[in-house]
Amino acid sequence: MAFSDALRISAGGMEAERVRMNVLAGNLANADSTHGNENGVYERRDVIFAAVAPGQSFYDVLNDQTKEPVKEVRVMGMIKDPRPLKKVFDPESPDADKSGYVYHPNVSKLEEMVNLTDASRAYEANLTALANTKQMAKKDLTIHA
Amino acid sequence: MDRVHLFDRTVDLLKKDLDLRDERHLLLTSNIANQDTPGYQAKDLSFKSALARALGKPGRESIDQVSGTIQVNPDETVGNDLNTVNIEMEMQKLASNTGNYNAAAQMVSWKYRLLGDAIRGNGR
Repeated sequence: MAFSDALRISAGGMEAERVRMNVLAGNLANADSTHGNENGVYERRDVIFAAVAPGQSFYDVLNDQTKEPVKEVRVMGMIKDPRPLKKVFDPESPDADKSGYVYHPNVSKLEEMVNLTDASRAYEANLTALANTKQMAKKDLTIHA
Repeated sequence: MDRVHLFDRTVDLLKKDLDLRDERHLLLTSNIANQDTPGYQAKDLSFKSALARALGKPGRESIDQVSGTIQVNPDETVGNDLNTVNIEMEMQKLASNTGNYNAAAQMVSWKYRLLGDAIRGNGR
């Protein structure tokens, strides 16, 4: 029945946004995690969303094989942001290297907050869709003489 | 022998309307779930004119045969990630589709109640 599909799609959307929120929260939490060399610094993470037909394999997604119009959203992976790290001259810091530089993550708190709000609103939109589906299914049960 | 029909074409129409709205609901749900998916193209199902055309023809088969047409990018909005979901429009469509679905279901319910009243011979 289509209602169970609709419920699964909305729940999948909520799951994807929740995973995204977790990753964004991790970025925000590590916004000030400094380090003395470039390799140890936290790098900003982000998730990759892909639209897949229910029951579609990764191979099909890559080749866009299905013509099915209804798509679920799935988290296909996590990437590290390629933007450069911030190098700050701060000789007082315990993390400072020999020449007095400290490396900061390539995280902008403002940007993470904007993304978090976006993810949270998207989560709510999916929740509304889920509530609508439930209401429609409930209404079906009232059809009787 | 011809099929015996308890109802006029209204119930056939309502049944078809419920089926099509169910199908459309799935598409709208999918658009909402994919509002942040890069490259995703929004879809909608249009069936209003097809249903109206079928109503203009005699017989029940014409209504039975109606199927919706899937439109890609109904609102023609493109963000910088090539996603064409306009979330405000989708939420509005979702609300109106749900409302119309509930209305059609209610009308089917009333049709059955009328039949029940006729069988029992009592006006409730």
